Amino acid sequence: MRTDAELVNAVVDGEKQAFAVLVKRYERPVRAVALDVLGDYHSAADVSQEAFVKAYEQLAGLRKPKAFGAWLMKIARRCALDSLRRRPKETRLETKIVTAIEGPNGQLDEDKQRLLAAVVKLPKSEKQVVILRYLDDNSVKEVAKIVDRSVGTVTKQLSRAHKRLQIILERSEK
Amino acid sequence: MTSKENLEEKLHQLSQAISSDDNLVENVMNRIPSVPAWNETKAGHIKRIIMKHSLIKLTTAAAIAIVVCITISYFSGNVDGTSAVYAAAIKALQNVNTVHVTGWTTRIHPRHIIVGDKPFDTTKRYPIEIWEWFSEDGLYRMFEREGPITVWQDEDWRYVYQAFNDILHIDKSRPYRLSTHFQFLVREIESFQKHGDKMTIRADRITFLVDRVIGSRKAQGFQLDNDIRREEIWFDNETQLILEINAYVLDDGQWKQWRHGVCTYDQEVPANIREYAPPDAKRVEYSSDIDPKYEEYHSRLREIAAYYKEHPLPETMELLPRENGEKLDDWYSPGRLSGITDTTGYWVLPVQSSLGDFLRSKMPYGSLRVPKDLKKIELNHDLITNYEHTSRQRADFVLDALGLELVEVNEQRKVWIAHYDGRPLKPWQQVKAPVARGDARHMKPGMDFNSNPHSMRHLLESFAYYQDYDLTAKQTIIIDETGLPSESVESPFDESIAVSSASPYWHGDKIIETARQWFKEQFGVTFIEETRLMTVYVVRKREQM
Repeated sequence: MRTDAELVNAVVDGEKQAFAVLVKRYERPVRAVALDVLGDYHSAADVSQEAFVKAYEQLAGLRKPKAFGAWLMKIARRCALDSLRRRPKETRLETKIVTAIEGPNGQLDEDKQRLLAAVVKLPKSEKQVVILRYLDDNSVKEVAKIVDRSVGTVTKQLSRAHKRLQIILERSEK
Repeated sequence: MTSKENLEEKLHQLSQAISSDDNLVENVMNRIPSVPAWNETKAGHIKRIIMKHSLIKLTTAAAIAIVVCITISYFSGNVDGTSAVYAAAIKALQNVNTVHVTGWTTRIHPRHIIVGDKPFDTTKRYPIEIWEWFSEDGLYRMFEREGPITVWQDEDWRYVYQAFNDILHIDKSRPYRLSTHFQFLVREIESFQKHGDKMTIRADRITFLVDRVIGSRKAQGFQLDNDIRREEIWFDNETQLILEINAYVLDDGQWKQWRHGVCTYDQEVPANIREYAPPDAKRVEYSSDIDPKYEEYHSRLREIAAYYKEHPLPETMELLPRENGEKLDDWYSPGRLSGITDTTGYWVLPVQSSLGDFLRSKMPYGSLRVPKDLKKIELNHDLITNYEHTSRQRADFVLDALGLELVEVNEQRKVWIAHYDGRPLKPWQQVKAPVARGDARHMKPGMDFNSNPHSMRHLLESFAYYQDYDLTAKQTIIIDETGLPSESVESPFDESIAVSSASPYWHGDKIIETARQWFKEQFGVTFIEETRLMTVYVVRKREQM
């Protein structure tokens, strides 16, 4: 498995297909970020695609290829916010209400939405490993390889993230 | 279950809820260009390192060149020299929040001209004021005033107001190439981007200018030239940001300055600019995708999108008859289906013409035969199609829906084999149509039909197109053996392969001799007539099978 940095450099080198690997790798994380902002599965899908295309266009400007994941999440969040701003105000409000009440039809139920919001609130490094570990279903070893950190570091970050998530969730329940 | 296990289980469930999209990878890969603008030949980070060294070399060279301007061979054939300037300037812009450009221009380019508008006096200097900035909420804004034309752009809309004819044009904000932000400067910086075989996108030569002081800043300058255009761009030695831009055009053998711009950064945007509101104009125009006059059609697009959100998309395509006769302009943009087009590639192609017009550009020009009675069939439909479908597939589908088919037969045809004598070609801008258009109200054979940069292939195909406008497949067609470059990844109107600024209207028998002469005189292209077995595409009723 190639690291993010290796893949980014490969793409910049002209290996377009390496970007497909990055898209596959970050598909769920990006959608999670978009979903957190938009609350609506269909819009999140559109925004995810937009975010990847933007990331590709700006890839040569990425100073630290190792930081691709965090950088991509920023782009995804910005795309989602842009999309939200473009919606009429009534629709924004409606989305929030509907998302909170409904479960099926591609929208998250309240518990999952709260959990997702908590994940998004985590510090950058922890958020990245949590998303890669749980939302993208990678082993700890695979996450370590992707983010180019040691297994020990990733384990510690996950452990800290667990504690932090518990606290955020408890607070949001009150 | 421990709290950790409980949390992990919840995260797992969340992961399942955020289902993956089977088509995402494919859709993204389809949308990204095969050759990105930033990707030249070397890896990005390696390139950046090389660029750094190149910049050091350039700066040293500048110090040596004290009095004279030296055309530096450094750039010749060296990708990284120009790329270095490009990369450094783009990077410098990333740390900027506000750009302010002031100066003047002698060229005013109205977006919309109406009968009675007088041309602008090109001896006069019109003031320029441009502001581009990020607002407090992080959103991009642009205000650009060049003489009587004011452009205002927010994240949603772009307003162009022309004071001289009191027209306000509104369309959706669109990014300029790769950049949404600081569009004015990005256009200038692009001058340093390598482009195909050319040294840069706009220049054939780059000259290193003597360092000078602009305001209190030490500036390093470059002069970019091609046959008709010259630009001087001055960068801040320290920040790599553009400080000054001067543009010239060749006029009667002399370089004549037509634009001057001075750039400053991170100034506070004045309230009158920040809160600018486009005026109430006498006439308001919209781009077709937001034009209220197409509201009925946009409403139909929304209905189609809603239908396909609940139902499976067609396996191939679907031809939906239209119930109303709302006429869309020929230049109407294809209909995007909200929430569908971006993820699936399906969109709506309005088919609102005669069958002949629908088919004419879908087959090799001069090779399509449509019987008179079929040619006149009027279509008023919407074709639900995919970006992946080819023109031929769309034609076959529509014909099938009408009970028709397209068959290929081989016939002996009169062809002209085009040869080029190898003479140096004139700059494409100097090649005009053989018949002047003047103020003629109707198109006449030999007049310029389409003013753009045209390749030789385009000109030859255009000849076959207009000669066989009646779709008989009996007129002369041309086989291009000139060897002149004809393919462009950029666009059919790519200046790098252009040989002419005009594409004449070659309609009718009487213009054929003029065409032969024009190709010979302008390009050294002559034709040898032959008879060859060629494929003809014949439309017929399906029962004939």
